[in-house]
This record gives sequence, C-alpha cells and structure tokens, in this order.
Amino acid sequence: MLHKYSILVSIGILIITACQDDWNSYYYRDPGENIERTVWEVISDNPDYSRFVELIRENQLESIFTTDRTLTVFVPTNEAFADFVPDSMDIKILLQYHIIETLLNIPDVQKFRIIETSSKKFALLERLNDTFTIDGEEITYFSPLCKDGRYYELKKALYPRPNLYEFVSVNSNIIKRYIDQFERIVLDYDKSIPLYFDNDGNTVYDSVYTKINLFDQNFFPVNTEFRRTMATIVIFDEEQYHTALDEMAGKLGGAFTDHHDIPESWQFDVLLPRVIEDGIFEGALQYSDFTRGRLRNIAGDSVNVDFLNIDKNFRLVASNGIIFKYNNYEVPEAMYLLERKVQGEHLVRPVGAGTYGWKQGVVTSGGAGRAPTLSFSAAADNDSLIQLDFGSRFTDQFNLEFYIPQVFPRRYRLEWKTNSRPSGIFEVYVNDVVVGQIDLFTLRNARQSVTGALFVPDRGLNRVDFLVDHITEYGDVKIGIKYIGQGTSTNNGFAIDYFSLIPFPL
Amino acid sequence: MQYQEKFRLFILGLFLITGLNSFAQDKFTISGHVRNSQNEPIEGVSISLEGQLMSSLITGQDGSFTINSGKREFWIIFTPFEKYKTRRVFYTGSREDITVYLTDIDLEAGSDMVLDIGLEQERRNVVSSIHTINTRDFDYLPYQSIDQFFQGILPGGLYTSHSGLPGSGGVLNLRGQTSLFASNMPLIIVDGLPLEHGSIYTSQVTGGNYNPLSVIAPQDVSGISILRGASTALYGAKGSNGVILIETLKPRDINTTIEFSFKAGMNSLAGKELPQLNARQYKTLANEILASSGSPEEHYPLLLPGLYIRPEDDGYIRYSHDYNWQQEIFENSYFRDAYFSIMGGDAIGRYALSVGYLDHDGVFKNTGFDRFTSRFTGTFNMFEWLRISMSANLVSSTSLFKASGLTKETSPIITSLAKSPMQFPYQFGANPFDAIIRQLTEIEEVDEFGISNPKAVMELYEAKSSNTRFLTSFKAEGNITRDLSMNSLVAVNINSLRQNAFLPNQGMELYDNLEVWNSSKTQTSNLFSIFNDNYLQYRKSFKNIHHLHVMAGAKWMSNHFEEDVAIAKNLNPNDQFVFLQAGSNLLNEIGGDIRNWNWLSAYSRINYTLLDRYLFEINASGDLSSNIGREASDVFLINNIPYGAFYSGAFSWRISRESFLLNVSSLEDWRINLEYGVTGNDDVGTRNNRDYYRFTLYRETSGMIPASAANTALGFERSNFYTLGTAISLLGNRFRFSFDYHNTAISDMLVYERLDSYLGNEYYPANNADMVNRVYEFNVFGRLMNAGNLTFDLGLNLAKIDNEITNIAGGEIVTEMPGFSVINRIGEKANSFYGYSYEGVFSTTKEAHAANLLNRFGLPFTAGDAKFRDISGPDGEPDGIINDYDKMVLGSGRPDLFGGMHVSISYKNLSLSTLWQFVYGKEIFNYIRYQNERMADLSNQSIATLRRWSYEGHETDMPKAKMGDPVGNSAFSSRWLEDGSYVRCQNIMISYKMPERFTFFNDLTIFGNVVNPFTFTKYLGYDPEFSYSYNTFVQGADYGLMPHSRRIMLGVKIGL
Repeated sequence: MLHKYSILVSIGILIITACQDDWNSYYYRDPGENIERTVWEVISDNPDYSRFVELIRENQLESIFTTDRTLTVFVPTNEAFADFVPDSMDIKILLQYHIIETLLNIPDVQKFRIIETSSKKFALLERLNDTFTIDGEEITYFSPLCKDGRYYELKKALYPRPNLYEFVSVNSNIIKRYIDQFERIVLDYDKSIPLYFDNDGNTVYDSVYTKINLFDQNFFPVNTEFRRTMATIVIFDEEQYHTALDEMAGKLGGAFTDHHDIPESWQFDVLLPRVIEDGIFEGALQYSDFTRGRLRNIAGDSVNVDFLNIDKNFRLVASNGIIFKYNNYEVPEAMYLLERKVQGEHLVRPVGAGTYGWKQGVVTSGGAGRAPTLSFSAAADNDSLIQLDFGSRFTDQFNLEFYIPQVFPRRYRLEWKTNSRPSGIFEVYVNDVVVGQIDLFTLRNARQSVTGALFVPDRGLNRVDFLVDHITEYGDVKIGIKYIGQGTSTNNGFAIDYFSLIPFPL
Repeated sequence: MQYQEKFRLFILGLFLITGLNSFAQDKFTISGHVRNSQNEPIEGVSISLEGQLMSSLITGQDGSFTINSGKREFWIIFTPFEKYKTRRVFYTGSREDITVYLTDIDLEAGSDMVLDIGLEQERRNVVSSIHTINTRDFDYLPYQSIDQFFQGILPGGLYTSHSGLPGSGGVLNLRGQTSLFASNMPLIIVDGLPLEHGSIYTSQVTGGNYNPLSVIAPQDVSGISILRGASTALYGAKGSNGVILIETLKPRDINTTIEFSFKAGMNSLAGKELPQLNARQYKTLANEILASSGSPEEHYPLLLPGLYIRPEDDGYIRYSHDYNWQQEIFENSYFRDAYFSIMGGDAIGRYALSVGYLDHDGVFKNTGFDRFTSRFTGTFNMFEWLRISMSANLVSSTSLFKASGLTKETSPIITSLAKSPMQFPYQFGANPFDAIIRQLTEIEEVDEFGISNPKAVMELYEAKSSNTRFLTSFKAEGNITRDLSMNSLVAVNINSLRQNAFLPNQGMELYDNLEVWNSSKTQTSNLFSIFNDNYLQYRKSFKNIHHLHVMAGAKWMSNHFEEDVAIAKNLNPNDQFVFLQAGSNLLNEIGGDIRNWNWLSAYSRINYTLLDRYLFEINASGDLSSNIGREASDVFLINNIPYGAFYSGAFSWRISRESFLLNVSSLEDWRINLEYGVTGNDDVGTRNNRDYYRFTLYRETSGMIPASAANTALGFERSNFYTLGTAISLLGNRFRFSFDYHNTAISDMLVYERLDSYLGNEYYPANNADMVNRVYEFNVFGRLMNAGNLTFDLGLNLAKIDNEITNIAGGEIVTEMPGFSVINRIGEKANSFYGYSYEGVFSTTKEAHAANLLNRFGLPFTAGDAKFRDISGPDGEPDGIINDYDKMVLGSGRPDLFGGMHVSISYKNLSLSTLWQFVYGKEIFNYIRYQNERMADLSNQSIATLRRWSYEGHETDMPKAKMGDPVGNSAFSSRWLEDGSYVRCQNIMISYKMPERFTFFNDLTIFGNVVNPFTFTKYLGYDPEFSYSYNTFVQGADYGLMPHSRRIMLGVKIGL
C-alpha cells in the first residue's frame, strides 16, 4: 500500500515540477552569460581590454559607466593601443569617442549609420557585405547582451573625425576668422534669473551669458555637430586662396601687387560671403552630385557649380559633413571689376502715403525742405526714378551726397541717368572733387559720352558721364551733386534714375 | 431500533393477513435475495407487487424473500429503509430465484426521477440522452452562477468560463461546436421559460459579457437536466445546441422548513504574475528599440527625457523606481454569500420563498459582482383535477469590471505589463507642501511612453453593469381524465441591463486615435419576452407490458429588445463631470437598436415501452421563426409561411432484461441506445432575412439607404445527428459505465460571403457551409470502497471531439480577428488558427542570406529576424516571399479531448470531495504574450526578451528588438500559439453534517472549500481557461480578461 502511495505521490510531484519547468524554461531560459553584469564589469574582467580600462580610469571617465545609462562601448584591444598616439586631441574626447549612450544592435545597420558618441562627435558605422566597421575599423567581436548594454571589440582605436569648422580652421585661416567674427556673447535667458524692473521698465537679470555663433544659427552649424544638418563644403586651401588674391591684385593693378594688398574688409564683406554661398551645400554630397547641374546652397539659393573646377579625387568625410577642394580658385572679376550702380529709388524711403524722405546716409542741404518724389517711367531702370522739384526760378542752394561702398581704386567713369525736366545746372563731384558740370535741360538732345559714344534721349531720360580717375584707395566713394543755378529752363530741380561707377580702361 | 422493530411487526402482521387472503390465488412463487452493492444481504426490505392488492413482506436476516403473484408479468417494488433507494423490478415469470441489488441512498439510481420536457420520468426509462446534475452540493460551493457547476462533470459538455470575473458566465458547448456565426450555446429553460442568449447584449467595454444565468442563485436550483439527444427535437429550431432544463425552488412537502446558509472567503490570484523586465533591463531594451528606429540618438533625451533622466535633473524621482505594476492590479479580495429560504404549506397549497445576497469581489482591484435575489413559488391544488403554480423571481445585480487587453489604454493587464518599471503610481500633489515633505499623493499622469497608469485604470476608470430582471410564470396542470392531462404555461421575462463606463483623463493615455482625453459611456438594453406553452399528454399502461406516453402541444415566444447607446467625449479634463451632457458636441455619439423576433412551434412526442426491454421515443416539431427568410428552402409552407420541420427518434434496447442475461444478477442495467434526429438553429440574425433601410445624413439633409444585403432565402441551420451508445450499471448502480458515439452533420450553416465592392455591401449572409462533429463520450462511476461508514467514489468522464468543415462557400473563408486570423476550410477544424509557421530565428547573416526571404513589402529577413516557413507562392511553389501563400492551419482553440474526474470520500457525516477538470489538444493564441514580447515599441516586456537575438551567431528563439517591427517578426504565427492543455483541480470540499439535532437546529452543516487550488499547464499566461466572448471565432484567443482566482471559503448551513 505504501508503495502505491509513493508512486502516486511521485507522479504528482512529476506533473507539478514538469509544468513548473515549462514556465521556468521559457521565461528563465539562457538569457545570456552577461545579463546580470554591467558592460564595465565585463570589460574590466577581460585582460584583453586592460589598456582601455586603464585609460578610462586614468582619465577619470569611469563615472560614465556607473550611471544607470545604457551604453554601447567600442572597446579597442590592448594591441590597438600599441601605436596609439593621442596627438593633440584631448585624450578624454578620444576615449569618449568609443562610447555611445544608447544600445546599438549593429547588425541592424543595413548600409551605414551615423552615430553620436559620448564625445558629442559623430562616428560612421558601415556595413560592407557581412562585416561591420566604425570609421573604417572592423568590428571583430559582438558581445552578448549585458545588464546595461553591450560592447564591440576593435583591433584599432578610433580617432574622431574633425568637423567642418575644425577642418577649415586648419586649412583656411581666413574662413576660420570669418566664422569666428559671428561669435556673440548673449544673455542666456534660460539660465538668467529675473531680479527686478528698472526705471524704464526693463527686466534686470542676475545674468548668465553664453557664447553663440550667428554663423551656426544663420547658415550651417559648422562648429556644432548634428546628424541631419550635414553639409558639403567646397573649399580652397590657404595657398589657393592667396594665389587667387594675387591674381586679383594683378588685375586690379596700381598699388595692388599681391594678396596682401587686397583689403581684408572687402574679403570679409564681399568675397567670403560669396565663397560661403557658392561653396556650402545641404547634405552629404558625392562628386557626381555636382555634375547634375544647379544645387541648393545653404542659404536656400540655387547655385551653378563649376564641377570641372572641383578636385574629384579629394573628398574628406568630416564628422558633420563632406569636404571637397577646388582645383583652382579664382576671384570672379565681377566682384571687383564690374560697375557699381546706385538706383535713385534706393536713396529714398517712404515716410507716408506717396511721400518720401531721404534715406540715412544720404546727406542733403538746401532745397528749402522740399521732399523727393518717386516717379514711374517706362524708360527708367526698374521703371522708376526719384525727382526733386525746386519750383520755378529756384535760387537757393542744394547739395546731395551719398556713398557707393567697397570701391576698389582705379579709373572709372561716373554715369548719371536722369530727366531733362525739371532742370538746372548741377556740379557733380566724387570724393569732394568736381568731375563735371551739366545743365540738365541739355539732355533733351543727344550727348556725347567720355567714351565717345552718343547718349540718345529716351522718353525724356538721358545719360551724362564723367571721367573719374582720382580714386586711389579702396573704400566707400562719396558721390555728390550741387545745384549751381537755373539753367536753360526756368522749372528747376533734378531726377535720378541711377548713378553708376563703371570701370574705365586705364 | 425500537421504531424499526415496530415497523417490522406491523409489516409482518399485514403480511399474515393479506398473505392468507391471497394464498388461494397464487400461481407463481418467486424467491430471491436482496443485497447491497457489497453483496451483503439486506434485512427488512419491504416487498410488494405493483398494482396488486397484497400486503408487503419484508426480507429476513439473510435478505431472502419469497413472494407469490397471480400474474405472469408484474412489477416488484422493493422499499428499503433509509440507507437504500426504492427499486422497481419487472418480473416476467421466467425465473424462480432472483437476486436484487439495491442502490445506496447517496448514489444515482434508475428509479430516480429525472426532469424531462413536460414530465418527470424514471432515469432508467429515459431514452434520449439526458444528463442530470446533482444539485446537492450547490449550497456548499462558492460559485455565483449555476453554469459553473457544469464544468468537468458533463460528458461531452465543455464549459469554459469567460474569465475570473465573478458572475461573468461562460460558453457551454454540448457535443462540440455547432455553428460558425449563430449561437453555440444550449437553450436554457428556467421553470419552463426559455432564457435569451447572452450574446444579444453588446458592450461598450471590450471583454464585457452578460451572463443570463447570473440571475439565478445556485441555492434556488432544485434540478437540472441537460438534453442532448433526440428530445431536443421538441425544441426544433432552438434545439440543435442542446437544451438545459432548470427547475428552481420547489416546495417539497407540507412541513415548514427554514434554511439559512452563509459562506464567506477570500480570493487570490491563482496563477503566477508574469515575470517582467526590471527597470534596468527595461531601460536597456527601450534604448535598443529606440536605436533600432533609425532616429538619431541625440534626439532621444528630447523625446523621452524620463528615459535619460539623471539624478540631478528635475523630476528624477518620477523615473527612479523599479516598480512591479502587476501588484497594482491584483489584490486578495473577499466574498460573502447569504441565503435564506422558507418552505411549507398544507394539502391545498404549498409555497417556497427565498432571498439571497451575494457580494463577490474580483482579484482585479475594484471589480466584483453583487446580487440580490428573491424568489417565490406557490403551488395550489385548486381542485382535485387542477393544480396551479406560480413563481416570481426578482433579481438585481451589479458588476464592476475592467476592459480586456484589446483596449490598451484601459486594460489592467496590458497597462501593468507594458508600463515602465521606472515609474511609480503616484506623483507630488498640487499642494506645494507635498514636494517639500516629499509626499506622493496624486495619481501619476500617463508617461511619455504612452502607457496609462495602472493605478488610474484600477481606481479612476470605471465600467459598471447593473441588471434588474423579473421572471414570472403561471402554470396550470389539469387532469382531464385519469390518463389525459393538460398543461399550460405563461411566462414573462423582463430584463433591464444598464452599462456605464467612464474613461478618465488623469493618468490615462488619450483615446480614439489620441483625440479624446476622457469619455463617458452609457448603454441600456431592455428585453421583454413572453412565452406560452400548452400541451396535452396521455399516459397509459397496458397489462404492465405496454407503456405509452403521448404528448402534443404548441408554444410561442415573442421578444422585444431595445438598446440605446450614448457616448460623450472630451468632458471637463478634471474628470469631475461625468454626465453625458458634459461632452463636446462635436464628438458625441448616440445610437441604438430595436429588434423583435418571434418563435412559434407545434410539437409532439411519443414514448413507448415494451416489456421493460424495448423503449421508443419519437419527437417532432414544426417551427416558425421570424429570423427565417420567406423564400427559405427545406421548409414546408402553411399559408405561404415557411415552417421548419424537425424530428427525432430514439430506441433503447435493455439487453440486461433479455432472458440470457437475467441470471446475471449483478448486472443492474445494460442498454444499447440509438438515436437519430434533425434539429435546427434559427439564430441566423434577426434582420439578415429582410431588406430594410437606415437613416443617414447627407450634407444638410437626411435620407434612407439600404442597410444590408438581405437574403430572403435564409433558412435554418440544421443538425442531422445520430447517436449510438451503451450504458451499463452493476451492483445496485455502484458501478456505472457508458459510452456514446455521437455524429452530428450540421448543414446550411450561416456564413457571410464577401461581395464585390460595387454592390455597396461587403458581406452577404447565406446558408453555405457544412460541418461534422464526431463525438466519443465515455463516462464511468464507481464506488470503489464501501466499508462500513467509509465510502470512496470515483467518477470520470471523457470526451473526444473530431470536428471538420465539410463544405464552405469558396472552399475556405479566412476571417481576421484582432491579432490573428482564423480559417474555415474544407477538411479542417472549424475556426482553425491560420498563420505562418515560426521556425526560430536566423542566427547569422549568412543563414539569412541563404534563406533569401522577403516579407510582403519586399523587406529582407536578416540575422535576428524570425524564420518563417516559405510554403508556397502564386505558382504553388515557394517564392521567397513570406505572405498569405505561406499561411497554414496552426491548430484550434477547441480541445480534442476533455473531461473531468470526481473523487469523494466520506466517513460517517464527514465528507471530502474533489473535482478535477482537464482539457487536452487545445491551442491558445496568447495575445498577452504577443504584446509582451513583440519588442516593437517602448512597452515593458517579459524577461523572456532578455534572450533576444543580439549578435552574429546568437542561437535563440527570440527575434531581435526592432521599433515598429518593419519586417514582421511578430506577425501571427505559431510563435504565439501555445499548448492550452491543462489539468485543473476545480475544488476540494470538506463538509461535516451534525449527526443529530444540534441545539435548536434541525440540522447543521459546516463546510469548507478551496476552489481552483492547482492548475497544471504548460500555458505561459495567467490562466489557460478563458472565453473572450460568445463569438466562436475568438475561442482560444487570450485577450487578457481577469484570470481565475483561487478561493478559500468556509460556510455553514442551518436548518430550522
């Protein structure tokens, strides 16, 4: 009897344990050898990674592993550090470059993936057939899942790629300085604490300031690395740039002999913005992209790129973009040799309905307070011109002065397109030197240019020009007209369709 | 002993007087012995001849007797004392020495009266398959609804409760599935009144089910018979799923008896909590899934600051926990059940009155069921020939429940499993002082991962169902002549069900595509049914050889059902205004439905018994149902109205009464039974057979449009069955054995055929599918030990069901259900799971390349992805693309084999019994595991996901984690199907009845129960037993309803 009960009890125990086993063997089956250990514990215990562990400790980065964050670590073996040269780079940044603060399953990468490392710099994961690389270095071991992430083994240590800013800083000092000039110190409203209102009602803060770069904000964050705001930059090196400026100086002639003579202010105000706009594009481009026609630059404009002038064999991958180099760089002549035109309507500003005043920077005197008007004429440039009527038999004084900026010194002719009515006798001067005099009434007839060509009146408008050969320095050129007195007609005043400084053969 | 002695002398005196008187008439002398099942002689059994005026005699010490009769065939009646049951034995005059075994009083006997349609008859004479349920233990078990008593004890009957929610009911199938879209539930008749199907009630809360049987207090039930064979044809168009006859409070005698019972106990979660990832493991997985999304890592802290929060950051306290959210949804709960009844009367009238109150909490917090029942029954003998009975039953119940896993915002299980363990149920309150003293007082808001706070789900979310039902009946029984009687029943069923749900804002994820922050829902359903049944019956015996019972009648039933639904959304966000008017006008929804359906049936039945050996039964009915189309085929027409004809016949051969077995005294009864019949199912939709229109708004005006594609030829579903069986009982029913083979061919099943889109309707109802059920039923009972005061009983029942679709429109119909697909295909089981065959995980890239598989969108399966079997393609050959061509039948949610075992031991007045149930060969779609192991979003997952594929060469069965699961690793496949077989100990009960009058109590019984103490299963969910709804398509889909509880109960029953 006892035997029977023993068998029954045994069967019962077997059934119970069998069912329990199913549950346990499913939920608790083989979760992996490292599942209860942290990545740090696992790699610290592996003698193959002792150098990496040592460097982490030496640089007091161990705390990264002691937070409860999830990590993916690319662990270089001890051999990888044999020829390891930190170079000028901060060793901490370099080590942090091997750590990702999330859990990556690298076999998921189908083609490539850019990942942000703990150093805030980006690394490139790529799949080549069945092998995986990070920044070109093959990943040689995939660890099982650990408690807080996993690690991958590398036979070489990784060196973070420079970002675009770092690259151009090394290769083009002028562009670095150009970008740096956008730096601003601003009040950090998030961190500043408002204290009270001053007498003017302004908020007074317990101020915390921060540094921002307007270039990053307005164009492309070359200095801050973002994954999806990658750019491609086509750039010249320092030597190419100097050569281009040397050529430009040669073309300017006169006192311009080499790149040293090209005013830096012009470079910053005119040339470099153009370089940036023509040479930085959204996205990571291939050379072939340049051959497909116009591209969208970072300002959102459509730009036609001379792909033949781009070195197809030079393509650097930066952490936040791609760098191409020009074969040769030339400063377009149009930037310094073309006419500089000022439209009349650009000298005024609206001050009311149908009424205008002179813009800031336009200096007038006399004229008995009369205000300019804006007229429309089919014969005018842009269909409009400004006009100031003095009235009949005007005997008062009137002067008007304005500036044409960034004019290289050379010989020019100053062309004035205006109307023959109203009229008067006007003296025209450049940088306070009188270059000529004109009775505007005479423009109703054809008039000879300093070039020998004939200016023919067109629906009341005509041109007059003057030779200007006394601009000897780069800078802003002052243009002025002065009312001398009543001319042929008794209805006095003047009109400006435009003034234009046009390079004139030396 | 003194009484017994007097009784014996009295009987002896009578014997002497009458024996002398009859001596001269004796033609046959029979002698024999009366024995019990131990083969021991029984002394003092009174013996008489039925229908003959002779005095009884009693057996001697050796159990022997000698009796004389003037007839050749006669019935001998053995009337023992209280330990044994009375027995009638038919004597044909061919033997002179007989041995009769008597049945112990607590065993089932052939002389027991069985509740059948229209009459009570002796169990041994029942021809059709009828199974009775012993209601003796109903007082002692902590069940709320009588359907729970069906579990494990019905041969061929599979009862699966919806969930562990008290009173939620379940699905009962007798002899297998009988329909795809119509009801599979048997017709339930309470005191002659057919109850409505629970499936007519819909719910605005997923997983909400209504159980019509929950309105009956189990203590009120005095008898239950389950009809599964030929006699179901009497219920014609409603009989194909079987019929359950329930008889309630029955005034038994004229002595006034008062009974009071009280039981109380505690519920706890029977299964285990699912092992989930802890906070550290969750963070790791969430990071991995985020990284797999392809979105840049530097954005994660912006999108999900909580996941990356540092101790020095504000709000760190909210994400610094390691919390087991399952403890927020489960709790140990209590139940109480009090019941009082009084019965009595006199020779003219008898009455019974009962009241009961039940309060049963669920193992989900803030759920439960409470019910107040009252019932009155009166029987009055108006005249000698006329008896009138009336009963009234008023029940009010309230159920608090929660949504299923299909609504992830409000499901306790889904939210508690998916919720990040980093969080905590509470946050700082609005009072600044809370933060200072670091006191968390307010329920935490929904987290950044979009998972509702389970605390809010359990405490603020509310789903409530209130039910009031009134049942009343009036019955007249008149004897027209000695043999002819008339019965008439009029009954009314009024049921009002009201459901309210409030989906709060606080702590909850937004609802309805993230457009709704809170919502209030109300639904009212009202049913009015009136039923009338009139029949005549004629009973006659001829020369003790022929017994005839003829019955004919007609019944009709009319039902009116109304349902109104109102939903208000975006109420005040503070959740303080829950009334419907507070919702946004733009989002309010209202709807409703009115349905009427009627049933008329004329029926007839003939029972004939010849020589106690050959038993015949014929049933027929002609049914008119408003659900049937006017052009239906396979009907007969009266005045152009289609009637369904249903009929059955049964024959039973009592082989034990044949002369060659008469001398085998221990053979109590041996019968061979044959049944054949055709029954129907008219539950094919109340409107599918008629064209009708519905209102719609078109721009600024309203209009009417056709509402459905009607089928005016829609007919009954038909069950054509035959049963071949045998039943043997031995030694005074001490041992019983029965086996039945039952074959049902169901034809003209309702299916919804897909229509071309240009027709304006998607589906068309048609009788276009056939199915067959082959059922093998085995039932055995034995009193294995009967030594003195010690008894040991063992009962075992077993059923095997082979189900097969034999015809269906188009050869197969695939139906999409939430999370899975089912197929009905010729040659396969009905509603088989249909999906991919999961064969593990690609361990290496090389292996994945070699397989070269694409998903249906053209994405390649790579290392770490699921390995599905490429079975076929458009050309019938594997094509390297995993799509619909590669789906296969994966199993069925219905078991192949099921049954139960009952063991009972008693010693004197102390008894111990246990009931076990088992189910084998059933597959379960574990929707909860599917949600808990998909690794496709930021939900927390089970610890099984720790072994997810994570490196080249990783051999595992768990695919890699991937946001959104683009390649479809979690597509419905055999991965989510589990063996749903289980063996469950339903209960262990112990009771002790005081042997004598105890103080001022007539009787006193103390009892205790443990319900659901053990379940042995391989299933990986909470509970392998569930039935999401009455819908046949979701049987086997575990959508996360409340699991069953383990219950410990103590009670007392007192009789005054």
